[in-house]
Amino acid sequence: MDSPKVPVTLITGYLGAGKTTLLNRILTERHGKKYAVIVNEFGEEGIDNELVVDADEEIFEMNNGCICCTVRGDLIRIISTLMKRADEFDGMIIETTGLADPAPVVQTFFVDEDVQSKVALDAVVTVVDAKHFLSAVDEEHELAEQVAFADIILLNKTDLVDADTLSHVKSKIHALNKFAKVIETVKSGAPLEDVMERHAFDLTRILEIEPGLLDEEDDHEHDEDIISISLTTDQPIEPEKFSQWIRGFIMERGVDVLRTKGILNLEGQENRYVFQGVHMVMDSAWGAPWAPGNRSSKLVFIGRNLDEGELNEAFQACTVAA
Amino acid sequence: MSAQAMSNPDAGARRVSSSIGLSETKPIGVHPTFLVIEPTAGRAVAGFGDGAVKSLSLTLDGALVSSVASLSATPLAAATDVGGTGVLVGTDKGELCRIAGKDVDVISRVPDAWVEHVAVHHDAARRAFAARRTLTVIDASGAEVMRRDDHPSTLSGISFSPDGKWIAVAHYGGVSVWDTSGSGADPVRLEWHGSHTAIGWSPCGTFIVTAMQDREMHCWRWDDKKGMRMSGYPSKIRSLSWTADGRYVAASGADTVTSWDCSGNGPSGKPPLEFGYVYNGIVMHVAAHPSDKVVAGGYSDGTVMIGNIEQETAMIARPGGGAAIAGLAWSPDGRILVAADEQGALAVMRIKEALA
Repeated sequence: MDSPKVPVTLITGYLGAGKTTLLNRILTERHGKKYAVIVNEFGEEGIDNELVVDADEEIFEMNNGCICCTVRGDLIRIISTLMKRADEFDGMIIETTGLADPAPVVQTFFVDEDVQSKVALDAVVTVVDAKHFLSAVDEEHELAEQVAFADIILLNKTDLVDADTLSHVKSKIHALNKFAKVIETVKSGAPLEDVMERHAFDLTRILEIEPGLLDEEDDHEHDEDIISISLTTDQPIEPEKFSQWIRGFIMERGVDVLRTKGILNLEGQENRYVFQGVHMVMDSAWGAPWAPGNRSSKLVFIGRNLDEGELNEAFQACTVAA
Repeated sequence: MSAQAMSNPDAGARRVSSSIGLSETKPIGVHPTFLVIEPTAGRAVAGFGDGAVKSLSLTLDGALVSSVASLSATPLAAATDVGGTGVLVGTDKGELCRIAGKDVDVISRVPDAWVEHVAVHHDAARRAFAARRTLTVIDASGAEVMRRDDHPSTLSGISFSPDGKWIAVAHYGGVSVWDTSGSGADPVRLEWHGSHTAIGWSPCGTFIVTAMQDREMHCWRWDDKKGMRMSGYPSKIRSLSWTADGRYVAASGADTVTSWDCSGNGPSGKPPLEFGYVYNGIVMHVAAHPSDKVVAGGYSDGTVMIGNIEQETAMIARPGGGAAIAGLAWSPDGRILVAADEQGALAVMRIKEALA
């Protein structure tokens, strides 16, 4: 009876960055697809869709022992109800408020059974205003978090800044999140296929975690609050050692870790072991088989106050050789 | 909790009990949104995700369905109206409709909101519905008795006290209990951290129980407001139901139907009674029998079990192997159980022998 899950795209970004413009571009493009749209505030720009559900953002804490585990009660209710309607949706799009923390939204898709059984989070798309980003990012922590959580970043309004500013904005984004795909746009004009149906949270499809286009040698700005780190090893991983370490680390530091992703070459296994997490919530699965001779584990963290050297040492200690 | 094997995954256990006469309609691929009984009309009334409202005869043999109405909005919740005549339906256009026969009237409204919960107290002649944070209570004539929106989140359930003097609403962080006279008095707030997703006031008036997003239930004793937790569920609890005598509260959320003994000081320290283990199944809905210590459970694989709480025994009323059960309702005499599954099939289960 399992039908394919309806993909859900999360559009986030600061006030005036161009979220609704992107939303309307997606909705009005001639793709013949039917979307349900959930918004948490109506802006000045109208939304060009038959079904728009306007809901108050309701952040609910869970009593499951993990202090940062929150879900969005409004989304659980609305998604469960929308899935009972006879309309066959090709997808759902959620547009958050400018100040929204993406974590509870993403965690909802990991935690709630009703949501999980019917829909799947496709990608977090963050729209960034190139003109105001640099002045706002240090003041407004939500802005940095929205970038840190993103799978796709629309670097928008690039026509309003000079080349120098644009390059500063890009390196700042890169410092926060070097794994997201950055698309430079004017009036949120990104190709639809770069934004929709990205399967960014589909563990069975994750084959590689790509660092961004910029090189890694750029000196980390050490005053960065949020940074992104990637660790690799060619040595096979010993499952027990790794499991013990990652559980302990997430228990202790989960509040600071925004997103985690890993593709592991476990000792004696033919398939990739893939996992992802948001704060303390984790999800894992067996991925595609490894190609012969090319088995390398990779682990990615995006979060606050992370020590790359310390993490690397702990990760390397999980290999069979260690 | 411990699971007790009542049926096996093999085919033998998929047979309907000889005590049950089962008839059902074919699945239509549309999700039901409510299922209630309208006793005076001798029918079950079901709403669907495409706006259709259909009735199922309880008096004629088989499973005879006819169309009642086609709403322009999606029906979301319903309750039988005062005296067992008519059905009140909440919609996603903020309406509370009354369906009588085939006629549909909008009798109250909350703009720009979904009416997600409806409840009726027959003796006190009070009708209540919840939309967003707003609780509205109207009387039998349709006049508004109260409308309050000072709740911390969207309302997630409504339950009247057995005497109809109080109405309890569930929301994030606990329960608010209002008096239904329209006095304007402040509510009694029962607090417990977390998201409460369903509510039921015990028929003896002693306890208020909620189901929680956290896979547990919470129970307050009404006289001293003392709280208790009932936990250990493997899945979210979507449904709870009190036996008519107020002794047991049954819940979904496990691979058996679980019932907590609330006699004496309440459920604290007592493990739940269980019946009806279904391999790979989770109980989605429960409905207590209108008079006996008997509960019906509807499972994620479409199985319906009817079980005796105290004996911890169950019989299969509908075999599984299909879509999850989306609703259950008993006829007032307890002789007929009706179920709806997520693909829109409606099943009538007629009980041939006494259950208790």
